[in-house]
Amino acid sequence: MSQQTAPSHDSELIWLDGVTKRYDNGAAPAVADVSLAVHAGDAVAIMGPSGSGKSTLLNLIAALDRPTSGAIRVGRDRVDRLSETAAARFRRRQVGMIFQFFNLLDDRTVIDNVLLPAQLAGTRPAPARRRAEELLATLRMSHRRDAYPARLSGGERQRVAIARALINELLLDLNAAGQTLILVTHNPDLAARFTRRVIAVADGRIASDTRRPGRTPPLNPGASQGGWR
Amino acid sequence: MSAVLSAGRSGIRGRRLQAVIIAVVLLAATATSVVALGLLANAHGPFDLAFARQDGADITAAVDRSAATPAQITATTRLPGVTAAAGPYPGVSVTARVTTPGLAGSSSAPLRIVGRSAPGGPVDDLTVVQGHWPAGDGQIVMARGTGIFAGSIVTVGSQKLTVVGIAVSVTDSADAWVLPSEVAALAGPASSVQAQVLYRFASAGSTAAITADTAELRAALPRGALLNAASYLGQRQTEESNIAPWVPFIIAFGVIALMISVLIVVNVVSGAVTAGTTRIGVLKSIGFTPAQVVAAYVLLVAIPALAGCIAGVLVGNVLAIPLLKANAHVYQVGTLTVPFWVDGAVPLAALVLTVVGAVPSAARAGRMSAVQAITSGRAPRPARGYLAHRMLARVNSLPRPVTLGLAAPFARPARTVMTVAAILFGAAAVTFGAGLAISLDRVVTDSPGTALPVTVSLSQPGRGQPSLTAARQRTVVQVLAAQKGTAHYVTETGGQLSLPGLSDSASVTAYGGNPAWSGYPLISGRWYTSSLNAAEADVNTLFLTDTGTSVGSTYTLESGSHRVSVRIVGEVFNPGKSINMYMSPATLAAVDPSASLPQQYDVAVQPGTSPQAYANTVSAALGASYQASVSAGQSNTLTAVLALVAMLTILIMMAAGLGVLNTVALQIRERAHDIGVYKSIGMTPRQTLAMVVCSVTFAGLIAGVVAIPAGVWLHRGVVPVMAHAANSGYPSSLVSVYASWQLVLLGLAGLAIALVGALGPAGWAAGARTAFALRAE
Repeated sequence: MSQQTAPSHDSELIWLDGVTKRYDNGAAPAVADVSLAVHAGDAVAIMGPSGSGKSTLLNLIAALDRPTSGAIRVGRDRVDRLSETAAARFRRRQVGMIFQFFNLLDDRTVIDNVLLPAQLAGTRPAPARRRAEELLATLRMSHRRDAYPARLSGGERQRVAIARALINELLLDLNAAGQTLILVTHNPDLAARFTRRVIAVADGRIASDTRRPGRTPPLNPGASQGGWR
Repeated sequence: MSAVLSAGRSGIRGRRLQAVIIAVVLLAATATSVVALGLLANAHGPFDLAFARQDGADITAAVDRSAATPAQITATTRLPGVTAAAGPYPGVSVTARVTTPGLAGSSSAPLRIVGRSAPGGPVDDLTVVQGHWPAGDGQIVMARGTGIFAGSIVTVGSQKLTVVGIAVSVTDSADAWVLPSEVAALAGPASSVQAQVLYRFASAGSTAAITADTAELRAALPRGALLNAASYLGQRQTEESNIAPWVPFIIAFGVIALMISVLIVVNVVSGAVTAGTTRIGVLKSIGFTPAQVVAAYVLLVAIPALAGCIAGVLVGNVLAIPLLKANAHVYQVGTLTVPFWVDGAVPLAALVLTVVGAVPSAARAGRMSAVQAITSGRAPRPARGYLAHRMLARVNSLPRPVTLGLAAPFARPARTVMTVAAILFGAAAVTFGAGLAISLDRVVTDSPGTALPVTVSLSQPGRGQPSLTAARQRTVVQVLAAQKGTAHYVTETGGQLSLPGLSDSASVTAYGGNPAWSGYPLISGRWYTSSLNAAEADVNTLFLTDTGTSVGSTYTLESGSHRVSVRIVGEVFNPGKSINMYMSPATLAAVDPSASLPQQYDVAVQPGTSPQAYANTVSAALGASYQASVSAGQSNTLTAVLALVAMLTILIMMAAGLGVLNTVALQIRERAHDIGVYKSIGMTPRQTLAMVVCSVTFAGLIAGVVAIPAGVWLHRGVVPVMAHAANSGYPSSLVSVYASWQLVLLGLAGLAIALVGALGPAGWAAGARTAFALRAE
């Protein structure tokens, strides 16, 4: 898919056109010919059974993986064409990932886990630390700042993962479009609670795409998700 | 057993990189050890082979015929310990004049001439390699290596002998042979005819046995009748020096390579056990006994190790050929090969070491309970290194990927120690190899060939180089003085002197001028003075060893009716098989009046002057009667040895680098998921590369620093052993070879090994797709 086919509508933050992802030649694609658009500020749930391709779809949008064919644009970036370095910078700038099992680093303390994205982005130490402390305070985790993840409860780990996903947000000069949320979950109640649009995926294809009127709820994840700033 | 084999094979399939590393490192270790042991085993090989073929004499005795009757001498051949004997042959020591056809003039040569009616015999079966045995009076056969060629005329007194052949005696029993009837005529009034008897004894394998055999001979003869009894052991020891000097350093490299191999094996098996906890649980749950689990994990390294060992034996044989060939050529005993027992024993020993290294970690897998192993679910995260991460996270002056990398080694301290040790061995080998190359280079540069590269003589090649008359000396000096680029020069007179009590003669060199300009380094003492009143000499170590003298001793030289006592004032570094003496022209002339005139001028040129261009100009200025030549560069053997040192150093560096690669690969494999997380939160490939490379930087620096004293220590230990094997002591300049700046550079070798070893897996980690890394758990 060429750049010329990309829609020019500014409100479409995420745009996929004919995206296919195969892990093995000859095997069925994990994602097959998916096209969709997500507007800035939207909260979207991607649902489907295990192996349906929903996590792969999220990985492709977050530039964690590259499609076999098709085009993906996030903001002004054609993420399917980004080099690994550019993809890493894109994730720093544009994406906050909260994984299903949080993926905290066991041998780093809470504060070090939260600080890491800012440090990798080359943020000066003082503002980075100030921002991390603020986030932990907001998430009521200040008292656990020097604990290791193994000592945390599930809820506490989740809050640390949220803090880590948000650490770069206010340190960067972000656009004012607000956050766009993509939530990958098996849980329909969760999807209904936090999103107004549900995309059902089956066998790597979009089986349905339904929308409900109303405001986007605040971020409170219970599953793997990516937030786009 | 098939189940264990199958488990081992599947383990290898999952660890192809580690299998390749083990195979390559074992290849290096086995190849180096095969070369070392192959040379060691063959150090005596050519001599022993020739000795057996020619029925060499255990003892070559010289008996005073005026002190013992023929019956008494013959009776010694039937002594109880004697298994075979030849002789008595009449023999005489003379100083002969040698004339080479087509060349004007003649030269003198001390010769031990023995009368034999035929070359064969039960002992010392001579091999005639050129021409034929004397058919009548007036004919002589020379020993190979005397430098007197077939067709030359040897004059002893009034007797003229034509050289009709060249023969080889493995124990160097004489310089020349004539028919027995000729000997009495050669002796003349000044020297007496001796009887040479050649013996083989039932017991002659050691110095003690030879001493006992000699005592038996002495006891069987009248007092004082046994003038000299030369043992084959001395000859054997001397001949060993052809390749023996190279053996110690190759052994050192071999041991280092084996140590690195073991360290890598331990790391691989330990890493496999750590990462394969679930697999161990599964194996046990389906019925593997602890012993079978241990066997499966040992096979994981034993199979690639076996492949590496087999390849190593092949490579080792190929590497050993050039050195063995050079040694075999001396005795014309055909092609030497690495002995079969070396080809079998070395890989076996390497495999045993590998298995011994693997067993402790594999035993850990064997002891693990099935339930514990299965419930672990995945490679247990190391519970160490948290403090290091915490402290380094506060170091704001360094980029975060760097501090992340620097903290990584603390997670697996045992593996880090193993890696540091592997790098240390590699870096020590670099320091050692560099020092060795400098030492060997100094052996070449600290010699007349380099110090006095241009030789001016009369243009008549071959032995018996004619002397320069006073008029010719003036001509040469005038040309040298006028020649641009002349630094300084000495005159040189060469000759051979028989040494009382020894079968070998000494090579004597008399330098007119400053003998220190010869370039020979002194091991101890000083150079002789040129004063006419001082009879002083410098000698090489072999002289001191063979004559039992030391610096400060007085030694009496004889030549015909001339006897001069010289004081040994210095020990010169001139290793090898020949006995060398250095003295002033006046002292040499006192011993051998025929050597009173110099044969050549040895010239040093000023820096920036091409010796060849200088020689050409001097040659043109002197005319056709003279020649100015440039000494040959370093020998082919030394070039081959320097290449071998370089190759072994690179091999060891590669092995150490592979050790690092293995460690980093294990580390990445275990922390692949963490790397995925780093990438998902914005770590770029360059940052990933920096993080992984920095994880071994600390190990490389530490190992590099420790490796300097280790390598220097090894160098200081091995070089003297090499010198000793070359029948020599050593000057301090041969061991004090490292400049400060070189040590600093060599200290970085550890870092270089670490970085190069880490780059491969670091590049893989940097290039891996984030989603792939996240799935890797």
